[in-house]
Amino acid sequence: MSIEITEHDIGAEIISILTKGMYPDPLDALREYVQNSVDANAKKIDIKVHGNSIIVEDDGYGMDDKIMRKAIRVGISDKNPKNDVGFRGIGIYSSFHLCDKLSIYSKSSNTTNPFLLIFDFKSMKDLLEKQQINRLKGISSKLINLQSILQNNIELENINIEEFPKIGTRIEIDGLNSNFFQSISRFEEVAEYLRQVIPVHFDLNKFRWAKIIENTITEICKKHKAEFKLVNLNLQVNNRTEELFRPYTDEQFENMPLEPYFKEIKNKEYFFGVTWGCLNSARKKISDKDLRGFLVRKQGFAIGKRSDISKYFGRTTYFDRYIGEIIVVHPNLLPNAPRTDFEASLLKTMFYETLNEVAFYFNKKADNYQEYTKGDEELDESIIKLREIEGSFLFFSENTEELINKIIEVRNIYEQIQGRLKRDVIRKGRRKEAITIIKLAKSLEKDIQGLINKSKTNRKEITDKMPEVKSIERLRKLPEIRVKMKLKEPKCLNDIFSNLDILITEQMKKILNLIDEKFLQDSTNNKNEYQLALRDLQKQIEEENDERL
Amino acid sequence: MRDYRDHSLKQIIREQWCKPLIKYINEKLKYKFLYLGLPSPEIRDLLNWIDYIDEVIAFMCRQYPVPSSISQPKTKVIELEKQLNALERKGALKRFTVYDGYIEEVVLKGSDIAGNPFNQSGVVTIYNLDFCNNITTPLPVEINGRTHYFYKSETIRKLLEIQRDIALKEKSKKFIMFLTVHSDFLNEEKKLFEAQAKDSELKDFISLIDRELKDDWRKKIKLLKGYIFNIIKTFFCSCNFTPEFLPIINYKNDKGTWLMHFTIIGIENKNPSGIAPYLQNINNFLNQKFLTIEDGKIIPKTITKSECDCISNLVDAFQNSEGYRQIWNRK
Repeated sequence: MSIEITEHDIGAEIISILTKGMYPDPLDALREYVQNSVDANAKKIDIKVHGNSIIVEDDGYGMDDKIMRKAIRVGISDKNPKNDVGFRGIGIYSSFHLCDKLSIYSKSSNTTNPFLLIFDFKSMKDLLEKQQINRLKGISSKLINLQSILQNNIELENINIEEFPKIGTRIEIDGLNSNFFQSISRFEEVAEYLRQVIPVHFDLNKFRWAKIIENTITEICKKHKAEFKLVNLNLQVNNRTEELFRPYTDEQFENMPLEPYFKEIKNKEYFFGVTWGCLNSARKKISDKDLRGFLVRKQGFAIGKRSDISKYFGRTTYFDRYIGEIIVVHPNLLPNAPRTDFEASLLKTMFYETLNEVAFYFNKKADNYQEYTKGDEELDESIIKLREIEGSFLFFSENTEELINKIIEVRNIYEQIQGRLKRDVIRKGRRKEAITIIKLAKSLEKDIQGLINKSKTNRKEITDKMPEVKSIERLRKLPEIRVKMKLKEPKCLNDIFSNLDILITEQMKKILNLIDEKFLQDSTNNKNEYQLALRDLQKQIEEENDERL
Repeated sequence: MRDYRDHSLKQIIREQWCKPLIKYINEKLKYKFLYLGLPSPEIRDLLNWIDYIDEVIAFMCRQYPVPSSISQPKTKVIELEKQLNALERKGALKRFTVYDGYIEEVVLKGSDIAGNPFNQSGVVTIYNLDFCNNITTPLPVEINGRTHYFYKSETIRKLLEIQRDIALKEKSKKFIMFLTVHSDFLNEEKKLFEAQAKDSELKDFISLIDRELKDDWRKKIKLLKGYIFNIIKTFFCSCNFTPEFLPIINYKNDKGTWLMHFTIIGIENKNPSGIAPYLQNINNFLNQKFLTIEDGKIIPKTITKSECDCISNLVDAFQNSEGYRQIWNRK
C-alpha cells in the first residue's frame, strides 16, 4: 500500500539537525561559503570579520534571481558534482545555527540589477524553540513543517544597482552567536584553518618553489584536460588584514626545501591528479608537525588530515621529511559531507591503490636522497682523511706499525667508495670524483707499501728515496669538498638520538646520560676520542635505523 | 558635558572648508585616503568626503559621556558598522575597522573594550579628531585594572608616534589633521600654560593678550589657541613631522558652545636630530585672525586690533604656506 507524503512529513527541525551535525565548527560553515565562491569561478575572495558579523565577497559569476531561487532549496543542487566541490544543496544553510541573519547580495553579468536574498534564521530558530518548549510542556500544537518555515522567513528581492554594483556575490552573516564569534575573531586561528583548507596560492615570497609547483601542476592538469583551481584570499579580522597563502615556507625546512618532486596519480584508465612533495634537505622530520607529510586536496579543498595518508608510506620516517599535497582533480571522485575522505566507490578504491605507487615513488626519492647525501658525506670524509694521511705518513716513515695502520685506513677509504659505486648509491655528478679518489688512494697505498718494504730491507735508503713519493701531485688531484650540510656532530649520547629524530622519553634520556658517563666517557681517553666514538655510534645507529625502513 | 557633535555649522565646515582641501591633496597625491576619526553612526563627514577615502578606522563609544563598559548597549557601535558595511558593499570603501570605545581609551590602552588590539593598517591621510570634551582636562583611562589620567592631547601624541613608526618605503608621509575642541580653558590650566610657555614668542603672545584683552572668553580662546599650537607643534616635530597650521575657525554651535576647529598639515621631514624643523612664522600664526561662520559663509573675525589677516580659503592658505613651498613638493 503506498502512503501519501505531504509537506507536513518533513519537520522544520531538519535544518537545525543537519547543519548542527555537518558544521559544528563555525570555520566549517565559513568554508562552505568560500567553497561556493570557488565553484562560481571566483579569482578573488575577501573574508571580513567585524565584531559579530562575517562577510564573504567574491568576484565570481554571481547569481540572477532564478539561480538565487534555486539556492534556497534544501538538499537539491544544480551544481555539477564533477566540477564543483559544494554540490549537496545544504551549504547555504551552514550558518543556520551560528547566526541571526544571512544576507546574500549577488549580481550576474546577464542581469541589470542585483538581487538580495535574506534568511531570517533568528525568527526560524525562535519558532523552533517555541515549538520545542510547547512539546516539553505537553501543549499540543501543529508542528512546523520545513516548507512553511522557509516560505515565511526567506525573502528574495530585486535591489537597486547602487546597493551592489559589482558582478559577484557578497554574503553577510550577522548576529553571530557569541559562542562562535569568540573563535572566529582570532585571526591566527581563522587564517591557519583557511590556509589549510582553501585553494589559496603558494607564497612566492616565502616559498622558493611556489611558482614551479603552481605551474607544473597546472600544466599536468591541462595535459589531462583537468583544472587546478587557485584563488586569492584576503582575510580581515577586525583590524588585521592579510592576504593568505598556502602555509608552506622555506623556513619550515631545515637548511632548505629540495626541489619538488611531482608524480601523476593515474592508472591505465584514469588520471586522478598530481602529487607534489618537497623533501627536507636535512635528513630530519619537518619541524612543524601539522605540515609534515602529504595532504589530500580535492580542487584545493582539504580532505581529511595529513596523518590519514601516512599508512600508504609504510613507516613515517620519510613521510615526515616531506611537505606535500595530493591534488585530486578527478571529477567523479567525490568528497564525503564532512570532507574527511572520499565517498565510497570503486573509483575511491582505485585511487587509494594508485596512492601506493605514489608513496613508493616518494619513498624511493627520499631513500635515494638519503643514500646520495650519505655518499656525498663519505666522499668528502675520504678527501679529508686522504689529505690528513698524505700530510702525515712521512713522519712515520720509520715506524712500520704506524704505516700499516695508515694502509688499513687508506684501504677502508677506497673499499667503502668501491662498495658505493657497486651499489650505485653515489650521485652521477660525483662518480668521476669517486673513481679519482679510489685511484689516488690506491696510489697512496702503493707509496706507503713502498716505504714499508724499504724499511724492511734498508732503513737508511728510505730517507734518500722519500722525495719519490707523489704526495703533492696526489693532493692536487684530490677533488674539492662539496657537501656543506651534514648531520650535526653529537656532543653527548643523547644528541645522537635527537640528531636522528629518534624519539626517547625523559626517563630514557636520564638512563642514556648514565650510560654515557659510566661507560662511553669512561672508555675514551680524551675529548677527541670521545667525539670520534660518538660520531661512529651515530653512524652505526643511523645505518641500523635506515635498514629497518 | 553637552553633545555638540553635529549641527549645520559643522556641515559648512566639512563641505566648504575641509572638502576642497581634501580634494586638492587627493589630486596631488593620486591615491585614495585612509581616514581615522570619530564619524558617529551618521557618518556625515565620511559621506561628504567619500570620493577621496577608501579605508576607515573609526572609534565609537557606547554611551557618551559615561566611561565605557562592556555592559552598556552596543547599539551605536553596531549602527556605525552597518553604515560602513553598506559603503563597503556599494564599493565606496575597500575596508573599515570600528573600535568599540572612546578614542583615547583605545589608543592609549592599545585595545578597545571588546578586546580588539588597536592597529593602524597604513599611513593615515585624514585625521578627523572631533574631541567631545575638554582637551585640557585629564581623563580617566583604565589600564590593567588601574585608573590612569591622561590629557586628551596624549592621544594625538600616541597617534603621531604610530604614524611615524609605520614603515613606508616609496613615498613620504603626508596628512591632514582636523581637530575640533571646546574653546574652554580653565583658570588653573591657563596658569600652568603661562608658566610653561618658555618660548619667547609664546611669552610675547601671552603678554600681548594680557595687555589687549580683559579676562573674558576672547582671552580664553586666544590662550587656548596658543596652548594647542604649542603642544601639537611639539608632538608633530618630535615625531619627524613638520606641522603647518592653517587658519582656525572659531564658532559657536547651536547649543551655545564655542568651538575651535584646527587644520594642520603634517609632512614627514626626517631630521638626523629626530626632530623635524618647524617652518612657519610663529608670531604670524599666533596673531592671525580667527575665522568664523556667518550666514553660511566662512569669514575672518577680528578680536584685537593687532591681529593680522588670514586667508579664508583653505586651499589658498595651504598653497601659500611655508611647508607647501619648502617641503610639500620636494618629496
